[in-house]
Amino acid sequence: MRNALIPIVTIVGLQLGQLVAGSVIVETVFARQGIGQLAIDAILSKDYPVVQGVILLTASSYVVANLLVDISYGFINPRIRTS
Amino acid sequence: MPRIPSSPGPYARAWRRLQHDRTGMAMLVFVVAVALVVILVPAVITIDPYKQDLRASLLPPGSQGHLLGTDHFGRDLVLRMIDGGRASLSLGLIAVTIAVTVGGLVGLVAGYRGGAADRVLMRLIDVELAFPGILLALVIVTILGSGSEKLTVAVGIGGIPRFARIVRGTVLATKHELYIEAARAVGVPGIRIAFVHVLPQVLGPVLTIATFGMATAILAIAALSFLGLGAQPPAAEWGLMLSDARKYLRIAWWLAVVPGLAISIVVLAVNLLGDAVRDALDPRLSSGAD
Repeated sequence: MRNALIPIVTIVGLQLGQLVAGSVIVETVFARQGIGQLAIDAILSKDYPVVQGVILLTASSYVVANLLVDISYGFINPRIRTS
Repeated sequence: MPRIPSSPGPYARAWRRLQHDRTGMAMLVFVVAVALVVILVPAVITIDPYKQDLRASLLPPGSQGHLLGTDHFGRDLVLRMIDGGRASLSLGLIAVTIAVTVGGLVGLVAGYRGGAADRVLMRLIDVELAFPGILLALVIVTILGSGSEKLTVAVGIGGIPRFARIVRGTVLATKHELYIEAARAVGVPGIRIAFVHVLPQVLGPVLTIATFGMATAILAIAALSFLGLGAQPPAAEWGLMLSDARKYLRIAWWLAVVPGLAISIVVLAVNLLGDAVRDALDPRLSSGAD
């Protein structure tokens, strides 16, 4: 179980990016008010500060999520911590 | 006594392995057939995917003279699919070409020169990797403005990091091969070693990634056109057609189903082709017999 967890956690971290990108499409299709819809509206109305904000938020959360993934390796498999 | 075969090059052997891969060959034939249809049909017969006929709007598939029916302006869906397919496929190809060229050069320089150039270039690539795929394309479209060609550039730029990393990795692995050392020992200039002796080694992995990248690019272009950032109406493009059809989903399902299916099938075919190409180029990875 623990050994199988490492690749899964890696994929989960990388999938987060797909999730955000997917939310842009899904929120448009189903007219949900979310961050994806906000980004699209801002882009279409050339509202650059909002676009910058959305990108900064998603990109930094992506980086932090992958940092957490890297840290979690140490908890899943203590051998990684020493190397 | 077994006949001793002449030794073909690695790419000739890969091509022979690909020919034995039934799925791969079927997908190759399919993709080539789709490409031929969308390129040749408009060249052979003059089609007008913009011709409106409001009295014949929203006809179901199988109607007289309209094999796949018509949309809300009475435009023939078959012609629009062909025209849109040409846009989708060619834009996907151009996007991948941009990504391969820029990513390949960056990877080659970073891997071959090493040192400061390597560190600077790879950190830049890392920065780009921090932005999730489509989001990066969205940002670039915001900066450049919407439109098919700008969208293609955006998707192409989004594909650069994958190629840069794979090329750099392969270059690092081949740089210390004996024949490179031999070339350097006899005084071959560095730039010639990089392009003539190292680059062919890179071709295999790049071809694999490029095939997968093509599927991703087609999908990304369709998705961004769907959001209204790519081709502008009345142009025909699969993602845009899907987006237009959304309003008529309850009364004319075929308008959404046909382009949707086309995107899914083409992307699936290109992905399967990518699998086959990878197996053919690197037989160690495939589990099946050679």
